[in-house]
Amino acid sequence: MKTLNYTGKNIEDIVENFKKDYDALDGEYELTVIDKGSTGLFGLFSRDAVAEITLTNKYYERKLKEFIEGIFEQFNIDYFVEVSSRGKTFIVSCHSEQIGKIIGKHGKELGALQHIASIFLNRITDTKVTVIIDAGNYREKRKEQLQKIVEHAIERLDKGGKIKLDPMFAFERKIVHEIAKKHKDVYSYSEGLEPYRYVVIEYRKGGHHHEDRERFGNATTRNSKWDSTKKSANRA
Amino acid sequence: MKEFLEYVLKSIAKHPDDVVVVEYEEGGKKVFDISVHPEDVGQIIGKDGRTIKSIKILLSSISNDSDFILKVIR
Repeated sequence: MKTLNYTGKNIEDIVENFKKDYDALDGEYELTVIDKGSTGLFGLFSRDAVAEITLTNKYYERKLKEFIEGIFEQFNIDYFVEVSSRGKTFIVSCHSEQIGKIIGKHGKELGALQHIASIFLNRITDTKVTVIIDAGNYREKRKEQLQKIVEHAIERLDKGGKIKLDPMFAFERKIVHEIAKKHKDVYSYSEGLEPYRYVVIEYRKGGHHHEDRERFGNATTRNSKWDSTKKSANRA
Repeated sequence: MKEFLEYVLKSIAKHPDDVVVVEYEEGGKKVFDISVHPEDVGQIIGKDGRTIKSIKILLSSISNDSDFILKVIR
């Protein structure tokens, strides 16, 4: 993910320096030799070796794991941490007897930990990466819970009415919008300021599909009852 | 608590060697003065103070005590 250029006496030297600089292990990087270098003749015409080294996800997985473990170390609890990655998304799953302490009320700690871990990893990578932290399948359970919350709200939704949900994290609101999108005649958007931003579910004929149609319609004859571009900026 | 704070700050700062945390008491309340490299101040506080708030949440949970103040000095 991060590509480094190294020059040195020879390739072995380069690898050794790089490993020291980045605390990297074998199998955590890819090496491309650009110039093997040459010792020349009696020190004359000598050329430095040049190589390109790319750190792979394996390296970042280990760094992230060590960082999270360093935090759990302080919680004074038994824990088990696993890190996997797919492209630019890193998933940390933690298991512990006292999982509640890690999750916190309404997943508050899990949210805080995820934010800190994401900053930590983004500092050492070149590209923007996403970190997801799951503890004891909390995220999965929460997703099911959100599904129920949204479905329940939609059931109660009268024609022309709207329902405000409780404040949620940005990634939870995103899940809610995705669920709402699957329902007919339902429109969802977010309102309020962080950290109390919440989702509003509204009855609207055509739901999200209606909005799409409007956006692609002729701009001059667009119905000005509600501005679709403004509304979509409000979402998520 | 102080060690944990230093651990997290050093992990997310661009200049870990410039991270200094001073702990003291003021009016019966625990205060942590945080000083970092000027380049890191924004990173430590985060957008709308989100990062420093997250650090506070973790710290309160670890120590079972939320009666303290984190101050970022610039």
